[in-house]
Amino acid sequence: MRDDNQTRRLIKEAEQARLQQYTRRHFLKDGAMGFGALALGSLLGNCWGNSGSKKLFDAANPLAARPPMFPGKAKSVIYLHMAGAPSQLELFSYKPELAKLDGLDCPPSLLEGKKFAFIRGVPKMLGPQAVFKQRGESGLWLSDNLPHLATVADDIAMLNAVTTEQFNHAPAQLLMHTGSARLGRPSIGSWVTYGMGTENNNLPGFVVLTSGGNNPDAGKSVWGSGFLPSVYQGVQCRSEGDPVLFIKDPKGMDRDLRKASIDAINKVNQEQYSEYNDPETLSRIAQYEMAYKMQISVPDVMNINDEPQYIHEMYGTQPGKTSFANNVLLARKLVEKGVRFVQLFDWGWDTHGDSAGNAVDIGLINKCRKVDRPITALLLDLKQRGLLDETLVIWGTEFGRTPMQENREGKKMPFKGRDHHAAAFNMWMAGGGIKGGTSYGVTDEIGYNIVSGKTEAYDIQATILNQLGFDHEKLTYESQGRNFRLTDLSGKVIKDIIA
Amino acid sequence: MFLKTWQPTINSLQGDKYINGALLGCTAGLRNLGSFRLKNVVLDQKEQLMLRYNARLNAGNVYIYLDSLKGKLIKTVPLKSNQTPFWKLQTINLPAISGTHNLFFKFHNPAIPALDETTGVRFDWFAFGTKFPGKGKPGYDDAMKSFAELMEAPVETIPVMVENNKDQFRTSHVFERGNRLVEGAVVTPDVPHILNPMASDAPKNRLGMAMWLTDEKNPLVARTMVNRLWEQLFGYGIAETLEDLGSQGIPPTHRALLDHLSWKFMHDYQWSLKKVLKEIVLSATYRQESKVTDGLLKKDPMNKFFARGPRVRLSAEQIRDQSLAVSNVLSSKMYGKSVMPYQPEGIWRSPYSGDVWKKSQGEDQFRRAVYTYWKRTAPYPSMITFDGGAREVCITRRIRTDTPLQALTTLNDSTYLVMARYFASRINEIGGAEVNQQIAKGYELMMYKSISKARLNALMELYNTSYTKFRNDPKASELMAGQLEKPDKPKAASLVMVASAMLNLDEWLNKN
Repeated sequence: MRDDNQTRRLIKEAEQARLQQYTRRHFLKDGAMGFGALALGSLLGNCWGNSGSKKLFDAANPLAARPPMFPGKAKSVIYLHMAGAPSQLELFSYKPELAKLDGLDCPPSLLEGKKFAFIRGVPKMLGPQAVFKQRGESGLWLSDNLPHLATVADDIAMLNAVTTEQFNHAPAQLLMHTGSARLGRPSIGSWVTYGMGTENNNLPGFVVLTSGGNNPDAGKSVWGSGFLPSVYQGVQCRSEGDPVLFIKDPKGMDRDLRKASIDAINKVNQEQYSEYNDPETLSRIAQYEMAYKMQISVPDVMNINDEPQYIHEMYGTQPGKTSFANNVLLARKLVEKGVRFVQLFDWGWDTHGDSAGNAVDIGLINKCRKVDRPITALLLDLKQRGLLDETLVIWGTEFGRTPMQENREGKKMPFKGRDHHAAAFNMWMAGGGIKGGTSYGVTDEIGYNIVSGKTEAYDIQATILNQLGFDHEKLTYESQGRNFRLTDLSGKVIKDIIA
Repeated sequence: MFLKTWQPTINSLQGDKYINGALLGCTAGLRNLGSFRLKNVVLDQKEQLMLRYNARLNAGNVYIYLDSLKGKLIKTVPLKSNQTPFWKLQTINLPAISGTHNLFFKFHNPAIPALDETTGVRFDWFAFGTKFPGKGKPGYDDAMKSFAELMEAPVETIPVMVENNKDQFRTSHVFERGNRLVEGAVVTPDVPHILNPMASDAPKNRLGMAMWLTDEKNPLVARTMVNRLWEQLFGYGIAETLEDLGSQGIPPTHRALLDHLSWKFMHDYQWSLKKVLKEIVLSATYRQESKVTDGLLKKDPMNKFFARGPRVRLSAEQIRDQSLAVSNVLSSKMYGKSVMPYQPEGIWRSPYSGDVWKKSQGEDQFRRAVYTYWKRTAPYPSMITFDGGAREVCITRRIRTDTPLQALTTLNDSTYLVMARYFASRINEIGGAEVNQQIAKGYELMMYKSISKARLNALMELYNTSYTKFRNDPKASELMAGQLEKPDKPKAASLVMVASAMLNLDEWLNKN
């Protein structure tokens, strides 16, 4: 018979062992389903509530489709980013008062305590270099630079008062896409594929397409996975070379031989599995089968040759060329095939006025011509396919441009241009449960500062996640001892533009 | 120390109060009659000033004033011409001044026209110190001369951290609630009081910190290191959260083992990684087979309790390196600059930058993965695909994932095709006369065991299918076999097919 001391010791040991297992984290985690289950648990209502972030995905099949936290209106996202920052004052922001100030010295009140990327001394004000009209039933002001987009004005929710704290391209792009101006945070597309996986195993879940001759200034970090597993980073699909890196078989190998080689690999792997019984080997076999299928599905979806003529006319696409228009059409094809997040970057919007190509009355108009038709076609095409309701389209950029004319080094520039302006600019959203024909936010009479409806990158990110069915405060991943989220400590869903 | 690092110095970045001058990059630029200030320079026992600058025209002077531009002129420095080298080092003697003062530097060159805005002087750094020691002793002149020569020797430089002079230490405050604008209590270098204290004689600097970290009373460093080694070998640490052995991490599965190994690492092995690694890899636990029964798999799917040997996928770097090694092309060259092995076109496309990926030649193509040039915003694609971090931020632990893109990399990346060609050619040379012998030899080279019949059959079947195809298609066999000299191209091409498949085997990509 056990004596009392021994019993006491055993109880104490058991208690200690229990306490050791029961760290603060466990307490917090269990909290959701424990005493907190009454309130919190019922809000969450599924696997998102009590599982640690590490368990959200299965490493063997990290892109398996997973339901979001709540039923979202959007299933996929097409994010069109104009890298370089187009001038809102020539596109969306109608400022007749600014026209009256054209050519006058900028008042000191606008310059005090302000820092610009290139403006020095006292610049001149620069009136709008475009004609604006009200469009659609909603009466949205759009400039003549976007004649096609004007026809779908009622599908758009315009954000008039977007603001950022960064006035250089790379950090501003990072902030917009990763929620931090410094390198190392996961991009929004990574967060979404981490949260939802992808519906088509034969294609990457998060695809990136670039045009305009350059990658965005911040490089691949704007579609990087940061501290999330690297499987969630954006996969760049390219219109030159392999559409996806290493998708093409080596020269001299035809499909039959590739099949034979994968068959041989998998036969040996099967043998390996029968000996070792490691389920990882089965994942490897599936991985090679998927790779084989991807070799067919990727070139197939990246090929726009077989699109009907009316589609090419609608988008202004030319097969075989690298263009924004081609990328927009590809984006439509990709979401149609179940790709979760398609990110387009078009480089070349940095209209400083240092050359004709960078002038707000010359180069900007040319750039608009290249994007206006395909973007409009995208909205119309998604609509006619019944996909617009479940596809969130975002048009955005990293910051805006000044109502002053740029005077680099204090000197007059050869062409009309505007400097970087972080305080106020425009973005818009459409589809995916966004209320068309609305606008949100007001800026002052010259588009310099925000009057109301201030919208930060975090708010846009929160809204995107919300449309997909995520609470941006709860989609987290643990790194370096704490849970991180895309929207950091900020972000509010822009309810005014949600249908 | 100063000779090696040019530190500690006062960098021009710390200058302010510019008049007719500005900070140009990291240098202080002054136009004619321009000036700027260096704040709070401790002048006690400072006998001389060494400064690095570049002046556009000969015959200018820098005037150094004490406390204000109208203050006492303490020194006039005649600047040297800017011919070669571009940057000039100059040492001047200082009058004895005690205390901490603001110094104003004013530049004047009468040869520069008053309105010329393009010419002036740029300062890099300022070093206040004592005179070169040993004056009057034999060899002083020679030593001084070689010091001066070495100071200006054109050597490759690497940024390293060096401790500043005591008088250059800044005051550090606690930021209230993390806000740098709200300064709380002043803090001085120390270690967390919850952990073992620093030895009383330890200096409160990086040396002291190193002493504290490796103090016998601090088990944390040894535990962390051993846990990391364990993870490298077994795939998971004894405590899975390598990054956190504290209360928020996942507790270790074998606490006593972790303590035992870290104690030995510290005491018996005197921090020798080799020795502790040897102990782990020679253990019965590590040397178990990785085979697993259904029952065991169900009880312990992650092998947390080590009833079987580890089986984990290798890292991005390991996969590349071992494939290079078995193909017999791995370069054993050590050290030196990073290299640029093959990478597809168009990976780097940065605006406002002319940088290009310039493929390395010769054996530099085949250096170990750690030598691969790394650009954070456009990392080397095949390594990223195998879960190598982009290095934008410290990744304390790589999470292994499975994606078809990995298969595509080892199947189709030209680097792996080239390796397969070398591997094929190697087994062709040393494997014997018959193809099946050659394949068996290749397998042996890879796995250190002989090939099973079923495996050999599968690979032979691939060989035969390939051979039938290539025999009738000289062009395809030429493309597949590559440029290496081979008499029988269809055979060579078919062997490349087999070699490529072998480099993709699960057994090869995993540690068994």
